[in-house]
Amino acid sequence: MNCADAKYFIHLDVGDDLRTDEELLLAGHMERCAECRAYHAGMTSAMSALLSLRGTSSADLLTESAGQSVWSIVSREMTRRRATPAANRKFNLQVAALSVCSLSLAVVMIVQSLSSMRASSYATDSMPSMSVSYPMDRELFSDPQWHPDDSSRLMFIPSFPPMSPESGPQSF
Amino acid sequence: MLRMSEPDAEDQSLDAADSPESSEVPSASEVRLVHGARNGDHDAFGELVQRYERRVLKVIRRFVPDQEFATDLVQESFLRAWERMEQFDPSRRFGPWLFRLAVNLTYDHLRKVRRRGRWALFTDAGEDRTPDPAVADPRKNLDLAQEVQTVLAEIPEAYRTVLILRDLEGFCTSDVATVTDRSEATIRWRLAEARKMFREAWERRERRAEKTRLSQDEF
Repeated sequence: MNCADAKYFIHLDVGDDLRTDEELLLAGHMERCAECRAYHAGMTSAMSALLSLRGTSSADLLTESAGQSVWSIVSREMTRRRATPAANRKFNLQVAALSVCSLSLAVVMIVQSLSSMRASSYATDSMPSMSVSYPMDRELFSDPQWHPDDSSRLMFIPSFPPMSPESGPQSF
Repeated sequence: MLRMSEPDAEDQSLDAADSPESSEVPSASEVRLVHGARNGDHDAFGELVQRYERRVLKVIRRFVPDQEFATDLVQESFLRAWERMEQFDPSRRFGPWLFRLAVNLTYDHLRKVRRRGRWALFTDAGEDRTPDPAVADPRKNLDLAQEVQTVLAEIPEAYRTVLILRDLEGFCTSDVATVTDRSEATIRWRLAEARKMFREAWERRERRAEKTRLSQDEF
C-alpha cells in the first residue's frame, strides 16, 4: 500500500467506514510510515470537531419541537389538495405562444447569422494568392468568342500587383 | 484499485425515527402502514408522519437552520410523499425514499434562495470587510458548532450532503446512497473526499484564526 491509498483509507477510518481487512492493511502501513501517522492524527482532530456538531442540532430540536406534530397541518393540506385536484393545473396558452415566438425568433436569428458568417468566410476564402488580371487584356471582353470559362487568354499575375500611374487603381 | 466495503453492521438506519435499526427489508408494521397509505388511508399515513417527522426535521435543519422554513419543508416533504405514494416500491424501505424527497426539496429551496440572492439589487456582499482592530472579531463569539457550520458551508453541495448524512446524522452508507440516488461506491469515495475537504477547510480556518490572533497581539 502506498501513501495515497493509505490516505484514502484514513479518510474512511476516522468515521469507522473501513472493513476489517482494510483496517489491517492501513495499520500495517502506518506502522512503517510516520507521515501517514501524522496525517491520521490531524484527520482525527478535524473529525472530532465535526462530530461535536452531531449532538447540537438534535438537542435544539428536542427543546423546540417537543410535543408538536406537523401531522395536523399535513392532514388538513392533504384534504384541501384533494378537494381541488387539478384546478391549478391550467394550460397557459400565453406562455406557450410566447415560447413559440421566442423560439422562432431565435431560429431566424441563428439562420441569418450563419448565412452572414458563410458569406464573410466565402469572401475571405476567395482572396486568391494569385489574382487574375482582366484589365491587362481589355479587348477580351469585347471578343464575342470569349467565354468566362475560357482561361487560356487570362494572365495570372502575383497578388497585389503594383499600381502603375497609367493604369490607376484596378477594380473588378 | 481499492475495494469498497459493505456498510457497517452497527450503522444507524432510517427505518425508525430515532432508534437505530439495521435492515434491508422493511419491518412488518411499516409494510402495513405503507400499504394502507398507498390505498388512501389517512390514519396509516398519519402514523408514518409521526414516526418520521422528527428525524426528517433534524436532517432538514442541518441544511436549513431556520426552524420555520425547516418545518415548512417537513410538511411539504410529507405532502409530496403522500402525492407520490403510488410511485413508491413497497418492497423497499419507506425511510430512505422519504429522506430522498426531503433532501431534494431542501436543495430545491436552497437553490431558489441562492438564485433570489443573485438577482437581488442590494446584497451584503459590498460591506467593508476590513477588520477594525478596535472592534473585537465577531468570530470569537462563535462557538465551536457555529465554526464547524461555517466550515461545512465551504464544502461543495454534493460532498457536504454525504458528510452531513453520514457523519452528523449517522446514516449508513447504503442509506446515504439511496437518499442521494448514487451507488455505494460513489458515496464511499465522496465521503473520503468530503472528509479531506473538511480537514483542509478546518485547518485553513485555524491558520486564519492564528494569524488574526497574532496581528491583534501586535497591537
